[in-house]
Amino acid sequence: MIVVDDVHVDYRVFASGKRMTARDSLTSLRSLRGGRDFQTIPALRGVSFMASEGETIGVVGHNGSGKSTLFRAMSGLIPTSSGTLLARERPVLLGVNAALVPELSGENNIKLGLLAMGFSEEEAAARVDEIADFAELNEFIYHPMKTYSSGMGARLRFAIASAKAHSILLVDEALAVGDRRFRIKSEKRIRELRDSAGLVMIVSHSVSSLRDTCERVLWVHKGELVADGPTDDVIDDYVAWTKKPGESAVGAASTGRPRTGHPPVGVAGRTSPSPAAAGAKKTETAAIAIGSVDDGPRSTARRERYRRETEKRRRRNMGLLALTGAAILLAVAAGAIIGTLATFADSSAPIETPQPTAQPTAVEGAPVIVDFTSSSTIADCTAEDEIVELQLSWQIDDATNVALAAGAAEVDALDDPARAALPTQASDYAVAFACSMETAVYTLTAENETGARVNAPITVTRVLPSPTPEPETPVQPVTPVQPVTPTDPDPVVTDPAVDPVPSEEPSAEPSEEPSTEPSEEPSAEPSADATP
Amino acid sequence: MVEARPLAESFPDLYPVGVRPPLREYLAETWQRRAFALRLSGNRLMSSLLPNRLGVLWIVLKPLALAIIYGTIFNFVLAGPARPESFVQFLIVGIFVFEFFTGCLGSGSKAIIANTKLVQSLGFPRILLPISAILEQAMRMVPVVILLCILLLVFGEPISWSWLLIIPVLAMMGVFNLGLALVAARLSVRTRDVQQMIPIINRILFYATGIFFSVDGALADYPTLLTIAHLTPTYEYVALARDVMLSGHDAPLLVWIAAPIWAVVMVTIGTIFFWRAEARYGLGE
Repeated sequence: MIVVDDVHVDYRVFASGKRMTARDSLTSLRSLRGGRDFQTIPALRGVSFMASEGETIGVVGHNGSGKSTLFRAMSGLIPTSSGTLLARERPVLLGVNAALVPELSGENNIKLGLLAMGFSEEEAAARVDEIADFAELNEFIYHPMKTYSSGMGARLRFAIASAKAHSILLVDEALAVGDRRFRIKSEKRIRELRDSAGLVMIVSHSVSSLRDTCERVLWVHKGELVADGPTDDVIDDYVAWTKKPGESAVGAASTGRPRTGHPPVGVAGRTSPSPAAAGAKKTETAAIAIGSVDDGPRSTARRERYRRETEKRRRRNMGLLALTGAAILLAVAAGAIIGTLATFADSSAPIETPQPTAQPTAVEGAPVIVDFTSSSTIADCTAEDEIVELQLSWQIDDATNVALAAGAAEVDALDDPARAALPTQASDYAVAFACSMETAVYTLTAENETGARVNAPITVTRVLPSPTPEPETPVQPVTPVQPVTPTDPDPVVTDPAVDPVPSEEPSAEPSEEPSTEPSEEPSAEPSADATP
Repeated sequence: MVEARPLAESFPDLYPVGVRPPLREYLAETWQRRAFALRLSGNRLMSSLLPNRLGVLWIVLKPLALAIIYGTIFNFVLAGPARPESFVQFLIVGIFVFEFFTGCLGSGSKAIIANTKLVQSLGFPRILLPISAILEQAMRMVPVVILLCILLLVFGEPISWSWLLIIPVLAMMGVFNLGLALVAARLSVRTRDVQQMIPIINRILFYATGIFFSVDGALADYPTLLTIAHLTPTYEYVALARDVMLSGHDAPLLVWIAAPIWAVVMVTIGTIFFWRAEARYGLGE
């Protein structure tokens, strides 16, 4: 039993519905902004009928009249935009273009189809052979379905869909491509299904085949049901219409509905809601609408629907516009955030890497000043004529001649030595700082046998007990220098030497210096490990 | 559909067609036809592998190639706090597990639009299609996980019982992926633009998850960002996988709590969101 009451189906298509013009080229704005240009196409416009078990109903109509849409809506595969569909059991649709899974073999498609229809794994396994036999595909059952001809595909699909005995079966031109032998076989199967209290509906363009199998025929024309009655009468009307010279097939709106002696009837339950009235389905209730000069309730309803549809579309367009605007705003905001982050990262970059140690003054083959530190980089002077003592420590590898110079700037200490012929390793070597100077640079220069020299400076700043102590200049306490070979850029070895200096530092020292120190150390260790 | 009520009352033994069933019935029907999802995923997997000469090898070759590429590049580029301990093991666990997410989201979001024919010819709960896509990806993970274990042994990771926990971790991740795929699958039917966004989402999550660098090290100075990164769903599952597979990569407690919550919340949202459009999937575009 199936009840179809005033069913409407609208398709949404991405098309202008107009002839394509030169403006629709690739460069036009339309193609650039994408497919928002959809149109609503009514495929079914108020179809109503009832059918019960034991009937075989044929459906005729020109191409594009809505027969397949009606079947899809009845099987619940596409939603109706309005109207009601009631059925005792979900109808099974057997369509001509319903490929199941083209990559899989016919056998696997049978199993999948059965499982999808709700059979259990064992039932499906038990029925596979039976269905394969019915389809008569022989060894092709093991070949992928995409290799099948259209007739072979139709056989298999019919075999699968008709496997479930008591159901509403909708056959959509599926038998048209089968050969004569299979058509006879499938017509026999259809009769069997109908006799086991099933309802079969068939779309076909083969008038003779409909006369053979059906006792009732529906005629669908431009999405509306124009006739519903005994096979011979409706088919005669339909055949007469097809032979009329003035009638055009798909689309043309001016012709109106073909006249027929068997107008469709509405569903009784709709007008009088008592179940008993449902039996009176053959009473003529529906007025036949002809052309556009029609002010009946259907036409009013159609106008109302159109108005609603326009309103809905307008609202949807507004929503889409807002959405697009929001997306653009979001993109701009994202850009701004990225920009801000980038500048922020730039300004924070020097803070994050305050590495005063790396001064690549080293030359290949020169001595290595592993360590050169001062007890303090500021001299606590009480008066300008005072002399403060500082302790310097250093360690130099591979040097034969070491000298120390003091002055206002970095000099070569071997050319202008304050102290010459120093040891390569010293700790707490005392030097004097004259408080008359604002800053003093102590340069340690080392030379080896080959005559290569290397310098390391320490800048010491005077601090006077004046009301405004001078601002700290960036301190470069240590210059561990070593010849850097490109394969080993690892500064780890010199790292621990930096440690004592900041810890002995007065609190005036920039605070970030100690903080970067611990984070540097653990990370550097594993990197040495992990390098294979 | 407005008039459904009076007509339905006059035919009490009929039920409406083309209307989504109640959620409980829907889930019951889904469970009843689970064999369909299982068989579809198995068949799909086989038919995707058979045309290739190397067959099943491709399942492991792709993540392996990715691991080699990322490993080679970032082994040289990466230094400092972002470089994780035992880099190679860290990287391969990350890539192999993240590959599961990429695959699920990719094929799961296409589950409806790639099977329009099937949807239009057979009536079954449509949720079975995304589910079968996730199942297929899960089957693909089996050889990948085996390869992962072998590689970890080769790189000297000690074998332990905690390796078995990778199965529940991946199952949890699969549940989360299913939820996300359901949302994407429904959106893709009417808004194809979603398909364009999926590679972008993948990329964002790939970097947010820290596949080849340590999120904790890189964001050590930004505690707020670090917490957000820890709450990224893909990070949870990758971090848990590293926790159980590697020594010295313990996941924070937050991750252990958030991972199951993400999975349950996402699959609930996804199922309800997907079910609400159940009747409309056959319409195609």
